[in-house]
Amino acid sequence: MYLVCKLLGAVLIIIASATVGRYASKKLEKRVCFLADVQQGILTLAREMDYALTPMPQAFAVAAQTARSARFLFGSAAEILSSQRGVSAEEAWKEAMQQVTMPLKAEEVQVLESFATGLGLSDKANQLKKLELSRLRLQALETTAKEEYQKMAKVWRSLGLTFGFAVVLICF
Amino acid sequence: MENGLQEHRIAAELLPYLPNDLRSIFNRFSAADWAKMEEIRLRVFQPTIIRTHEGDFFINAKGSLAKDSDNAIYCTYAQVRQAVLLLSESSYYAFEEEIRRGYLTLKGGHRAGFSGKAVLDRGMIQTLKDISSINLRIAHHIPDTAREVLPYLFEDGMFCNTLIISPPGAGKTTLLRNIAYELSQGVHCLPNTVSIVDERSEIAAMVYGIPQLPVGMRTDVLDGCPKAEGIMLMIRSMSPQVIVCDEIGRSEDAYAIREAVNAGVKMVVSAHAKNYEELKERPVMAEILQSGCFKRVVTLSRSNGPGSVEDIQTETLQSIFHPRLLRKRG
Repeated sequence: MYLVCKLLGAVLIIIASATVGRYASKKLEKRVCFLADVQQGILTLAREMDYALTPMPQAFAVAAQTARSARFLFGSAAEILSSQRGVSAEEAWKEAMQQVTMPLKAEEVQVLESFATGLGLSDKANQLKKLELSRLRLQALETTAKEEYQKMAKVWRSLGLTFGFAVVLICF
Repeated sequence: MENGLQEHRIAAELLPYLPNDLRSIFNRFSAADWAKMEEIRLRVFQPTIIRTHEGDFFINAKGSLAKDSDNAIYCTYAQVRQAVLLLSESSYYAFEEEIRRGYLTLKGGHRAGFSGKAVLDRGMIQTLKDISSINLRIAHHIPDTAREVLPYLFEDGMFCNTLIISPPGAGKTTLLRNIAYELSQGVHCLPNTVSIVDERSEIAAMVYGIPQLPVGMRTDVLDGCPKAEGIMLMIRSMSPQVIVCDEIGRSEDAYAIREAVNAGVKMVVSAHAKNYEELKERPVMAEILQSGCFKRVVTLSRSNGPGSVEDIQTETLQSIFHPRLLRKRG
């Protein structure tokens, strides 16, 4: 009975440790996906502005449909703007950023914040340039995040498992 | 009761465009207050003025309407800026053309006019910046203006090309819209396929492709398109029986109207002028009138309120108007 309990404990330690490693690796993956999905949302925003001159509340809502993991960010911004509280698109975006949990680093959050500066408040050509610039900056960040993911994802997964085995060996 | 409902609808349509603190004041106004409002004027560092048919009113510190400007609340820069944000849905790029023209059509057919600093490009207005004044013009639906006029616009059972003339604010556009509605619905005539070429979004007041004012079930609206181009486009694409457009006056409009009439399409158009004689003084209009396109000319004035019919003439300037048939409108 004692041996069975010991064995069960060892398995639980290994599973927990492997899960932590897997979680850390998944977080890196989510960050890459989120950055890619925000870019997709921005591309949709640009398309809506360019071809249909769609106003920001509706453009945000359309972007939310294509932005997959970032859909809540665009969706919240659409909701805040549609509530007609008299906030600008920039204020709505920043408020939405606070409402949504984002798997991003501080530097990436800063880029997302600066993306909203003056959003909607100039002519079409200027807005499209602005959106493209923000998208390129996010693309660069995505490339870095992807490299980090490729380098670190396996490390985290193996580390989790190895750490679990190490603890089991030491304890038992 | 019906009036009350209309005023509640107007309030619900306009309140979201007002800055937050003004919204809470306007929210307390009664249906009777809304019924008399014609314009809400916001000017930076000036009192908020509500224009009514009883004259100008100010909002006092207690949040009620007053004739006296002594205790009037003043509009701040932030309030005007917030109103512009709300009116444009924080999307200047989407309303570039409208801001360039100085006005926006709102849900319900209301209209917001802007004034500020004009940004010029080669002498042409590119946009307006530093908007300092907003004029919210409230659209009150005035039904049945066409029913009295319409019987005069038929000859041997055929609808005649019609020109409506009046000075600004005398109800030309309302009459045009109501004629379009009646012809389209076929209330007192056979139903017609009607096309409205609405260059200034005044006839149908389209918002996101939906007419905000009734134009009839067989009516197609081309919004924001120059009239001459729009008339030709609608003839090609929608094969209308009647085309309606507002404020003609350019030589290309004259050409397009002649083309439409020769294609067998009936035209209902309007032009600014006090009367027929004044209209003839304008070279383009004189040319159109001489061509005999228009079998009926309806002259409106504000003598009994907007939409008062002064005269209805044939192309030979014979008056066929019998005032006893017309209801006086207050």
